[in-house]
Amino acid sequence: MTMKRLTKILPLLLLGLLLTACGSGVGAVSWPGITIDEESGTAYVAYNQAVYALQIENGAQRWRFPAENQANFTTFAPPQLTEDGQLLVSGYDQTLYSVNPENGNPGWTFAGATNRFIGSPLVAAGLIYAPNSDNRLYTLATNGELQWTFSSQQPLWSQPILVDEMLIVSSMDHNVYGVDTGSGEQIWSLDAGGAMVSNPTLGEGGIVYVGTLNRQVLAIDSSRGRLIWSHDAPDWVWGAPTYFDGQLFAGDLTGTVIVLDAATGQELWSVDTEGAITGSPLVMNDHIYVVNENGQVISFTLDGTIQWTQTIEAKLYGSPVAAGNLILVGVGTSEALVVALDENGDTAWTFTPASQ
Amino acid sequence: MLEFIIVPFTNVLVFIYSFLGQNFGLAIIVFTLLVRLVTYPFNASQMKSAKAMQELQSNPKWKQIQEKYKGKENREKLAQEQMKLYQELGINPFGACLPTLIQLPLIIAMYWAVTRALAATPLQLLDFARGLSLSNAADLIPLNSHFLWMDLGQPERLYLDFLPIGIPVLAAIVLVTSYIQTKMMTPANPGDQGAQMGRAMNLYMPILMAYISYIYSAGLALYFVTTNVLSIVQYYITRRPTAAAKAVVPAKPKQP
Repeated sequence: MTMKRLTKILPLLLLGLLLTACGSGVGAVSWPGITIDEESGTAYVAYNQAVYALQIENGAQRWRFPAENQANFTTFAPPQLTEDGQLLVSGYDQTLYSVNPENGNPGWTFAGATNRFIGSPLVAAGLIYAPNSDNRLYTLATNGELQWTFSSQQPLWSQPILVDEMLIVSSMDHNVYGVDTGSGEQIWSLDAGGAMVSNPTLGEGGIVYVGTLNRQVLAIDSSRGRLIWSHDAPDWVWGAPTYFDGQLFAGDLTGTVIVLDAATGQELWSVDTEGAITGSPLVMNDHIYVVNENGQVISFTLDGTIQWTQTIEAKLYGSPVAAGNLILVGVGTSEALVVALDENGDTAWTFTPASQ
Repeated sequence: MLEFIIVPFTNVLVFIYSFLGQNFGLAIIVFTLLVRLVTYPFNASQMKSAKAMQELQSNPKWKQIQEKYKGKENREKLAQEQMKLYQELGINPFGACLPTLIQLPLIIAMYWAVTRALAATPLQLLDFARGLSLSNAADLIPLNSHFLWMDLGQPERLYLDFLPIGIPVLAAIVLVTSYIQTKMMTPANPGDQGAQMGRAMNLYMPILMAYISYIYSAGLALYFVTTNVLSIVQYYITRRPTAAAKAVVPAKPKQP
């Protein structure tokens, strides 16, 4: 091809390049999801093209799944362990994977969905409940065999929870659903006033709490699907609220940490961290830990006093996770995938995957 | 980089969506129509230049020049004479290319606006939330991505019971309409430099557009189809003879 001809088609190549670079196939479209198995001392980290199994004590990699990068495979949701020794991986390639948690070897796959698995599946009562962006909740046996599906009107991005043999499903169609675990029949639904992208949180007495993109935290009686109270937040409440000892902790996109009385919804205190919060606050050893988009990991006492702030050179979106006395933070940059901090905010270890 | 275009594009798209019964497919079509109206001067200039270049091929003066300066050794002189003729007839040789380049950022911004509005992943939804300034945003999110048989956030395929695979209908329509559109803009003379460029466009543009439509969201493919169809319609509506064409109208033979 002559230089002249090349310059003629340059605008087309440029357009192709720009559109291709913008596509979902290149770069991460979400943040790392972390699950801890204290028994084996392993942290499972799902990020982009792999799941990494790391030793909690020092961050050393045990294995990765898949062993080498595969076209189209990406995953971000925290992987889930089953009681019979499987690790379930939610694929953006419309596939749910069963993996051996000891060595990362692949097991069965479920490819019956028609869109991405963005949220984690729930493993309960010997079944797997996997939410999908095709609006369906897929219920599988632990060998991957489809049992039944439940449909909502919009994508399901969040992990359901089990309350007294009823599934509580928060949907992007603005509804919270009570679903019968045996048949998949809807028992009740409640209009939450806005989309929900994170899971419900179980409190005491069967009360569940959800954060909505309509800037609210809601308390719902899960037995009847009745609204108990609602609390207005300054902005979208993206992450699931965290329940601890009669109090509810939530963060919003303005960066405000809100602490509510779980029984009444009354605000106890709030602090503006000035960086968007999309993860759930972590409560550990009488301290609250939140991360924000400004790269801050902030430790509060339960009365709202800031103990320390550690800044990581990254936008932090996921939920901090407790691993023994360490706090694991998903970072997802080329410098670090995961940073482990001790209770004083000092870095215990950093994990960066070897490039493929 | 293009946030200053993408953010208003996204807001207008969602605003139209809220008025069209929350139908995102119709919103894309109407929004594309609006973009075409706003960029009408560029499109009109592009089409005018393309037509003038086409009509130039049958201009007797141009044929004389080509005849006079045949051969590789006269190539430079031929180019000089060609430029003179362009000036004489008021043709801008770059008139067909520059508007395309100007529209390039709009196409990319449209791609981003559609992708962001459909928010198929958490980071896309977060970006979408940041730029959205409509007061009823919480009521609208997530946007309804279903239009006809398509999920506008996914690559489009039509699945029929008797076929084991999905048919990429939109990608095929994009291929055909892109070919017609680029063909319309192509000068016919095989020796001309503009025609060479046109042939390259004829070949690469439809394939590239169809490929993008095949792998990316149906929403973007719908935008391509709409904009191609509007271009074709606009071309035929505004098909009037230009100065170059007028210059080739043969004089009536004198009566003896």
